[in-house]
Amino acid sequence: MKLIPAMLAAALACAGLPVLAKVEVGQPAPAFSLADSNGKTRSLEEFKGKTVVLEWTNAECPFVKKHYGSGNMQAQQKEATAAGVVWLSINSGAPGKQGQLDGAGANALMQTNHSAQSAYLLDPDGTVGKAYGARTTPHMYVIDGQGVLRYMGGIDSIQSADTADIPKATQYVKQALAELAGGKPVSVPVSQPYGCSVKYGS
Amino acid sequence: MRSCLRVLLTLCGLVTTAAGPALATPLRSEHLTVELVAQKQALVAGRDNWLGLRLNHETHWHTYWTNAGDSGLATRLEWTLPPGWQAGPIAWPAPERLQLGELFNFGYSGEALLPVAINVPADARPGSNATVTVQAHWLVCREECIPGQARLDLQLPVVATGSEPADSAAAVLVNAALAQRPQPVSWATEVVATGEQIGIRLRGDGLPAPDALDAFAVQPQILANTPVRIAAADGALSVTAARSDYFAPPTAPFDLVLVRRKAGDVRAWQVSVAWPGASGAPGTSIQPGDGGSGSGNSGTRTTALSAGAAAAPPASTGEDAVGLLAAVLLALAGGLVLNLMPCVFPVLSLKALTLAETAHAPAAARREGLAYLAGAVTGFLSLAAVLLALRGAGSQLGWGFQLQSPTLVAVLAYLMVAMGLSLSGAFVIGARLGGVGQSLTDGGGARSAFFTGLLACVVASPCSAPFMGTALGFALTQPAAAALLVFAALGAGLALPIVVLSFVPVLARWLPRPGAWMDAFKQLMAWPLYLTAVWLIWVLMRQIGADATAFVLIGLVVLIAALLFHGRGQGQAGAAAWRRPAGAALLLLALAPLIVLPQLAAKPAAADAQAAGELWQAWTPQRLDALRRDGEPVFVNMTAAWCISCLANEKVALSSDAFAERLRGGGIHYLKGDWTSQDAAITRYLAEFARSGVPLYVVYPRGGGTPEVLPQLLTPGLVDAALTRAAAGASSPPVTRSPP
Repeated sequence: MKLIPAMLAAALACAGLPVLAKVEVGQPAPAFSLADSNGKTRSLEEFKGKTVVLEWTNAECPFVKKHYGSGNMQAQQKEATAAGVVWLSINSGAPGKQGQLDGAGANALMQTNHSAQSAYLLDPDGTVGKAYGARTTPHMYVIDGQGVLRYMGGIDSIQSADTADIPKATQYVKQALAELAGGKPVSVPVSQPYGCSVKYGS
Repeated sequence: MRSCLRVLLTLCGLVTTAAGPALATPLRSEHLTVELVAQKQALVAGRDNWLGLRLNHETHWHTYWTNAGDSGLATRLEWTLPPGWQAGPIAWPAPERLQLGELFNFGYSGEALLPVAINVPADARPGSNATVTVQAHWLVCREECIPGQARLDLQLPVVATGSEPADSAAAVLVNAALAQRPQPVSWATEVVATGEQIGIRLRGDGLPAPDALDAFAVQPQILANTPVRIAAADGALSVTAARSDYFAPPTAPFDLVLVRRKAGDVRAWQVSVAWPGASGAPGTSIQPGDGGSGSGNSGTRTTALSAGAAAAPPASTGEDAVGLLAAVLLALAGGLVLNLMPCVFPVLSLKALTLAETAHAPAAARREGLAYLAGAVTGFLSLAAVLLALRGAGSQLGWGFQLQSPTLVAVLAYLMVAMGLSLSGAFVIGARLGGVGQSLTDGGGARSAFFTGLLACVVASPCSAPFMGTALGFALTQPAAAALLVFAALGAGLALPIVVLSFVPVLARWLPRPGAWMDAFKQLMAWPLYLTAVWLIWVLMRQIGADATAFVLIGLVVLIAALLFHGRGQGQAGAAAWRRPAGAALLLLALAPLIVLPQLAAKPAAADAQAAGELWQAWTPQRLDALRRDGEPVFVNMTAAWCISCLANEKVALSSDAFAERLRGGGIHYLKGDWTSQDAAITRYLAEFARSGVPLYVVYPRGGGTPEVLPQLLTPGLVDAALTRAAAGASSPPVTRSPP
């Protein structure tokens, strides 16, 4: 029986290295800098002191369409930015993949969507997406003014591509932002993200 | 009453048009062809029949397992079945691990089939054709994803219990998928969670070889979706996985599915793994795993009978129309029966007697009859509309929801006492009584008749929920228009006797002439109302506890004082001017407890408190799942304090020594769920059986298999027979599972 712990330990030691990096709620969020849709370099560092929302997105993904088509995402962006929160949409799609955009394309999209994010960041080589372990679109993260990750996971609590589910779902980002603003701990700091896969390059 | 209804249903069944058997054709969708198929050429009454959703994926495209992995979404099925039929959950075949760059998903590609057991009741009519409809929702992905849905019908003949119909053309596919279902096994499991890794050690008979083996957790947020490592040593199998980045400590055992794909052969096993420290796990020591139903569905129950009116597809087939007609007739008959209920009869008998007076003015009588009908129908429609709206907004409510509100129960108790006092002669209804609204029902005239109809609906409310469960449960699974039609029929049924009396003056003339005896009759009729009030107070005590109920009782005493005071005032010719404001003040004081009731009710009486030595344990979904996984026989009783038929059943069939002996002798677990107050988990459970109200009795046989639903009215013999069957084990599971 003594073999068992040794066996498990050995198995643990040689288990495959995770390809996607891992971030943890309560730990500092990885620093990054990316070009936005207007070619300006934006970094997490420049928003120190402000709450930051990261939203992985791909306009052609049905789950993203669910939240933009219904206006849910834009409404949350408006509410958050009005309260002084910085909202960064990030596209980690590789060139040639579905939903990947250049700066002009992103600006056109933001116009047609009437979206209200602070900036739309382009991550064509997927570095930032992989640093955060972003898996799905949408995939959401909330970082507080000290740069500490406070929430990661799905946009809401009902995993579906159906717009009708939105009013019934708990909107986790909205909830986390309200709790942070009220000086309260985030009641749901981690949830299962759901959506399409992020279209990383190989 | 119930047997009458059954006759009605049977009569309606005869109307069914005999349509020839038809097979559904495959439906080509984007990158996916879907088809509803059956294992056999006919459906056998009195057992489970395997149907399946065939999924033929284009190359490189896939759909998802119950746990989709890093992205994606599980396929979901909503069934529309003839009344009394039941669809089980999807019996998910072994999934594949699909890699997409750094991401991993679990699902199906190529040719796949999702089997579902459809239980056809024993009383399904052989020779008839049945239409089974499924609304399938899926997400099909290559790298990009496309959500899809389809409504698929399958028409099959029903054959008698015991028949063995020939295989259908799709039998090979169905059988292949069934063979790929994980076989439940009872291996011992041990979890060692170290930092970022989770090691699971399995030990027991029939462990597979570690090569070509993969492992998946049914529940998300436990294991990462990256490939696992599996090794054999020391007679055990060790599965090592990275911990999910979105890890949440399991509060109940989770299900691990092992899949071995070798030389084109697929075998799968499912074992329940206790998490250290979770409920049911005393520690990190070796946990006996368990077999059981293998559905592993805690938190992943994706198949649901369409229980929300909003989600239900429009009725289109003849079968549905017949079902609706039957429900309307049932509701009409049920409404008629409501006239005899202790809370309704006293009020209505008096109304009927006053009609005797108007027998000489037929036109006025007819007008009153119609106004009364309008009142009753409006009352039920309003209640139904509120219920549908709340359900549409996502509330887990069923019929009877109005009695789950302590405030409303208290209001009804007040109303019963007030009407009782009036019948006892403490005050005269109709002398103006601000706030109660009974003046509206006074005297002749259409307006008064309309409000009497409304009042009848309100006083019938406590009785309608427990007696009309079946019809109303069916109604609520229908589209809103059909549901409202059924509720309107209930109102019409309630109003029918008075309407008939008002339209056929001859009948009214048969009624005894009004006279002095009426006063005595009135006095007598007060007592059923007082007793109804006692019952409502008892319900209230169960809902909000003795302390809060005491406030309501004080309120009732003040109400009685107010009404007596008011009555004395009525008797005096020149009542003092101060009497009226004083009476109003007393009345307001009486109503005060109702206003603060929501706050008082903050601490509900522990619904699952269980007296020592009781036969039953409180029902929770987790407890039921755990027992089912262990293959234990279980008797589930869903009840409510306000449900009269539930209480009658408990007295008649569920409290005898013989019943207790049968439970003990058969090792049957008795779980009781209390729906007296709102409980979303119970509402969801009811919906799984296409019910929207209590009582519901379900018997799960030993060793897994299809649960048996007992009728809403129990007899000791019927319960005894069902429990005997359950203790003996599943009688005819559709597919026998060989032991490991």
